[in-house]
Amino acid sequence: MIWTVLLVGAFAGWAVLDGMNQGLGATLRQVGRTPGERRTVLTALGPFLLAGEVWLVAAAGVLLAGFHDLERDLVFVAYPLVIALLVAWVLRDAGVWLRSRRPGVRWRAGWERVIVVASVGLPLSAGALLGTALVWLPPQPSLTARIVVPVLTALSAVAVTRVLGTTFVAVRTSGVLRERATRLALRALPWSAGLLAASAIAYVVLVPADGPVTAVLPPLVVLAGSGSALVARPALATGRLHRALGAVAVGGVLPVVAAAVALAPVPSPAPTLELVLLACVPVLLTVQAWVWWTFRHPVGPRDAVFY
Amino acid sequence: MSAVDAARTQFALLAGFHFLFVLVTLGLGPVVAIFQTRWAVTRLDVHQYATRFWGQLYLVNYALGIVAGILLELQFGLHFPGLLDVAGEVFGAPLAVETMVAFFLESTLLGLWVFGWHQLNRWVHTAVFWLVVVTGYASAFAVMVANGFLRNPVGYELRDGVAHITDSAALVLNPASVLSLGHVIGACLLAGAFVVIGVSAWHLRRQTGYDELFQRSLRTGVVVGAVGAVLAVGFGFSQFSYLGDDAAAGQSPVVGTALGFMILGGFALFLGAFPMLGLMVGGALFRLPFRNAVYGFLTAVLPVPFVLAIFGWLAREIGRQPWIVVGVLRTSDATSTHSATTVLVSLAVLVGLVAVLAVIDWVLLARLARLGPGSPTLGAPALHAREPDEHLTFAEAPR
Repeated sequence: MIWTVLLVGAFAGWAVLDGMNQGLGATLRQVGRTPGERRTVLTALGPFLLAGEVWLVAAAGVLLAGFHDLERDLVFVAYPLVIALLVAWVLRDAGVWLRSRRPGVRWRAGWERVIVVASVGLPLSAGALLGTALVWLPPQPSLTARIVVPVLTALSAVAVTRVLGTTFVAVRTSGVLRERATRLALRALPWSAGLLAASAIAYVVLVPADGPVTAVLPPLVVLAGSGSALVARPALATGRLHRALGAVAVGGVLPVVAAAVALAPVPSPAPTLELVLLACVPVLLTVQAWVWWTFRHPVGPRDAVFY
Repeated sequence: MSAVDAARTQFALLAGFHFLFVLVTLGLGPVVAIFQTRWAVTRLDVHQYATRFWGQLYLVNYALGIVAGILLELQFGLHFPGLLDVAGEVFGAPLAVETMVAFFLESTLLGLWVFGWHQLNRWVHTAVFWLVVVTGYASAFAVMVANGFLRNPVGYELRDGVAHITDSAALVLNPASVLSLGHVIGACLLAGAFVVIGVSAWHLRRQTGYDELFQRSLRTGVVVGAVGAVLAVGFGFSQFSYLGDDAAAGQSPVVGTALGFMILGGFALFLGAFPMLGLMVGGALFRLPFRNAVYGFLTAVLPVPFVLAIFGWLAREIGRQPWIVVGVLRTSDATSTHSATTVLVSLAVLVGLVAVLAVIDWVLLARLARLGPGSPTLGAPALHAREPDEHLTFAEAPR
């Protein structure tokens, strides 16, 4: 049980916290129209890049130690998707780290495009991987299910991260950048709610339910997507951005948790380690909270610029 | 090339790249922390600029260390699932501690350090970087516990062909982990020291106008390097205590050659440390009549500890073959059933990607090192950190 909580917690944490970074990256050149505006958006990302991606490193470590059967099976059926995820992740990071390391318009614009493409590729491959886990472990009899569900979860992940990222940018910037980010978030909201609903409906239609729990989960996903959109929309429109961010974060976490419950991973744990790891969780969360608290404000003249 | 060879080659190349960057992360970290502590105490500008200059090189190097590490973490599941089936519980335990605790804290705190430059109290800010260094070393320890188990499996029992932990203390205190960690830390400190010494000597030779900063840096580098040389050589030989006689002799010519070069090179560094320490007394080096020749030499030998570290790593990993876990599991029995073509394609994609990024990163590091500590981006006030055409956009009163 503890292993499952650690795995789902780490993965859901990554989906939402790094999802904000992915959405920020995907919309970098739409929100920021001049080099200075893009530098401001990357400064807004700043402390959250490392603080976001460590969650997936942690999830992969928990998978390795506690769920080797799941890791082996998933990585075997989804080998190209795993490679795609790794490539996108590496390129996103390289783009953010290297973009501002030397002057030159072409150098910067080139890496910005890398960031945009990789920040779409990352949720695309991660969403497809999650969908693949749902319908390939074990393989569903229907070929349609095995293809349609991963495609829809992949597209949902792109839409959800776009909403998360633009709302995050709206919180972390001011003036024209905030206006543009808010507008993009409002435009993406119906897409994320719609694609989440489509994924859930496809799952209900194509995959036979095998118990009361799996029957409840798809409606929960529809509810999470639409509910968070219904709360976030007026909040974005009236500038209550923290409320909007909270709503879209919940809307991002719930589908991941629902997918994890449907997957019901069986741990193969070490006897004492789970308690050691659990004991460390408060420290990890405290340090993360310290980062969020320190950088809760919009970027201003006191902020250090690095990326 | 068989799928087993392709999988091993892919792992070896990715781990090799990762290792080259980790050497600098762990070696340069203490130097940055020492300068920041001096800055916190003395408030001298020379210490501030040293912290920012070396800190910037640390960060640009760190970026690629993470990138290569990410690729490495999934290699076990992708290509060596047999290792997880048999020893996942034992081998995975230290890696879970590494990824979920040590690396998690290290990276989160590093972000806080970079971007909290003007927002945290100076003592807190200094302490945050020391925590980054400590958690970085904790990561290295966890990885060496996992690697030590492969070399010298202890603290476990096999039940139905699956390894279970029976003695956590024996697993953690495995001599193949603890002694090798000491050796690796020595190698890291040497690598960090050679970067600091080589770059400082370059600036001193060209008289770029930062003599005080680079003389202090060179002195710190020599002390760190001397500590590293003692650790690397001392713990290096102590490792023969758990290796059999055949391993000491070297089973294959490759292992023997790599080991031989590493031992010779290690001795040279060890012996070189004493005259260098002597030359630091009263800053004698900086007044030598032929000092420019010495500076040139110190810059030229910058790659030496990296080459030796790769030799040492080759000796350790090839020396373990054909076993992935000595006496328990053969590498060929642990490899996935993917076709050789599949593994070769992913090898070309992932290794090609990392190789290109690594070269770009090294070129950038060389450029930043040459530019000197005049105006590092790291820690600059927001309005000084950007290019002239990059005016930041924020509202009049943002908070």
